Amino acid sequence: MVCDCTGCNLDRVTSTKSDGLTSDPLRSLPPEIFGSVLYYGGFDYADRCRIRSVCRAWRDFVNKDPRTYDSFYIGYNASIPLCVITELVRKSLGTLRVTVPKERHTADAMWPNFRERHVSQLFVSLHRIKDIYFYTRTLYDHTVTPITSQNFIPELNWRFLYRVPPKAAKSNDLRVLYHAGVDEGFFRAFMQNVTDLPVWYQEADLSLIMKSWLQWDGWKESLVLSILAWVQAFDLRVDSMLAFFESVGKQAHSIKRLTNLKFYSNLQDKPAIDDLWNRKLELPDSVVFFPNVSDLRINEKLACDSPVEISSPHRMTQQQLEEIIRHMPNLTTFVLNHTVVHCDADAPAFDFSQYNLSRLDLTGSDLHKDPVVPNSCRELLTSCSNILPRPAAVTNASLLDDFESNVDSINPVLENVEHLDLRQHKLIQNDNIHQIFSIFDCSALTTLLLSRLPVKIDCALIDRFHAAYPHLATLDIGYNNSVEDNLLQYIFKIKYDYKGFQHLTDLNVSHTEISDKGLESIAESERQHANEIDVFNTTTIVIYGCTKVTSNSARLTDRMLLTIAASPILLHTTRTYNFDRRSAGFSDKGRCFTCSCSEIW
Amino acid sequence: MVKLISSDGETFSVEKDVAERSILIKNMIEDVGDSSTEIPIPNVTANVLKKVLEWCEHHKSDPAPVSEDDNDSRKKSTDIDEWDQKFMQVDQEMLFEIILAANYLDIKALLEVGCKTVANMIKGKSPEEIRRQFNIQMDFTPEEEAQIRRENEWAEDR
Repeated sequence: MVCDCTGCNLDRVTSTKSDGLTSDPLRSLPPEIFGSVLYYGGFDYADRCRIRSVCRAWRDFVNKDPRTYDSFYIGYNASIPLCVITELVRKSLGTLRVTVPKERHTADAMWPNFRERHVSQLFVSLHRIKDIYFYTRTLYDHTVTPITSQNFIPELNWRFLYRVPPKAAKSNDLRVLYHAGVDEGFFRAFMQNVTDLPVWYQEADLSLIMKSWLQWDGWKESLVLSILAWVQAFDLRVDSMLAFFESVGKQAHSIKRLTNLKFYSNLQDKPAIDDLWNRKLELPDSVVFFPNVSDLRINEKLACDSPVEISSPHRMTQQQLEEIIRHMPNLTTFVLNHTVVHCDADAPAFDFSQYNLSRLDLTGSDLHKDPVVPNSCRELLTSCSNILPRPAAVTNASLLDDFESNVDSINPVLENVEHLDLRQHKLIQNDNIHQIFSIFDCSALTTLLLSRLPVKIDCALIDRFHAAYPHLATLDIGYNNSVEDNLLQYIFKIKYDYKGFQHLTDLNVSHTEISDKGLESIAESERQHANEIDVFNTTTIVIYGCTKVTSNSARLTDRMLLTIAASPILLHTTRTYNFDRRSAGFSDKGRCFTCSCSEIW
Repeated sequence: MVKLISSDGETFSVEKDVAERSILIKNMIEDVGDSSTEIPIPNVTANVLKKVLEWCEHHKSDPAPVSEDDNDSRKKSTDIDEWDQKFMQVDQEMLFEIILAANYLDIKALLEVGCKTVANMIKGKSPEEIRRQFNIQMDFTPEEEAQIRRENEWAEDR
């Protein structure tokens, strides 16, 4: 049996060599073509070192080929002579990928050679952090192309990555300083050198540094203070998660420039906010809590690659909460997640009205009493019951009683709200949903998120939304078995026949019972109203996870331009694609479907 | 049809779109303005030209090559189409002749396939295996061999 693999085929070429004499490609082909052979082969520096060991002619060719120096490593265990390194660097065309040997004098002497080179990746091994700053600063001061450097310091488990946006042209374009490891030695060295950091660190985003340190159990108070000192020294707009310790408050009063602040504690039994408040009690005159902070986030779930999950909610008292944010008169965004706030039964509700809040996020928190939301609030996010008044213990029946009796106090809270997120709301049930929405006066509402509610979404409720929320632009009714073709048809009947939902641009019906039939009916409606449909008034329908929608929907209409393949298997791993209908080449009247199947794009 | 005359005088009649896979021939046809004119190919023998035209015939419907920049990553891959792999199962002399002809006739895709084929013959092999592959004599002095070994030592260390 004859094998057809590339290797065997090539061996056959060898075996059919006709004359037995040399068929050295370097002698048989022009040099530029042999150079192309090496280029097409994708040989890196190590490969080329092997290739140049063939004979003198090959050695000389490889040594002279500038592409040889496109990418190379200098291994940290090797005792490569300085002259060799500098020569390699001198010859290099552009992109270097270098592992620098550990001898500092070698690296120092070599470094200036990088100045005019395009270094794409830099591997610095076994170096003190001080040296690394020296190198990167030297590079940054003298290069006009991006640098992505990464050093591995195996003994200490250090991993250090600088990232810049592609095609960054200025030395101060560094945005992210990333430290993926957790190591006290690194951090101490880092802090010892912060005052020597060049100007391009000034806008560095510290959040990624902090991200991976959160789970480190080696935090020391002095380190936290050092961070804060650094923050102060460089006037950073810190958007980071600070793990707090008792004495942080001592330092905090001097951080007057701080505008954004995120508290996050991974210590389940010791909420960070507690420490801060205790410090305030101990040193009431010396601690001023971040007077310039406008963005305060407590226990917000980290929007990072591997978010830290909170296994149980933190607890604090309403008095603590009031005490902390009272010192932040400029607060415009307040996020309090995964926190239970206790208060006495007769205590008044938490009053946010004294703040000019535009965003209030209470997702996952329980304030026990409904807070007073200021009129300035444009975005209110909550998955808890606190948007509704309720006593500490409540049954569904008592909820309704309370709810109806407190209508007057609810509607002032909601009248200016544009964004209402009631996803997974614990207290919304089939038997109260109509009543709840019947008295919600949210005439300014543009976003209504109702996915994962255990209720039936019916035409009557859609009617209510149509009448009550004339500016509704986003409606999320996904993850609901009651949402099926008839309901979808009804929404679009309102839109096309009754000219309602004229601002509805996004309709999320993912993971519902929507099928091809429903989409076909919409397509038919569109055909009938083709002349009336404004391209800027089309509605994006999010249908990923709708197992009854098949690729047959692609044939629905010439104006539905996407193949739909909503495989449920892919739902957990694939992204949701939001589409720009114009850039995707859609026709003017095209409807954009968002779906989950990556391979169709 | 276009008539091509190889260096050893053999005439090949091929469809115009086949012949025009070669940028050189395409330009010549445009210059002459008459595709019925016989076009001499002085640097390519009949047996090589026959192979080259066989490749052009098979690839006559291929889309035009994209720009160099767009195609860089694909170029650096040594993956070769199955048909091209079989096409390149020739002795090394013929392989190099095809590469030279592709270069002369300015058929970039064929040149690329040829270079990749040679690259695959080098890839993953030790210096000694490469020498055997191409029947190359090792001509380093012991000192030179020791030096290159020293130089390569750290390059292999990642």
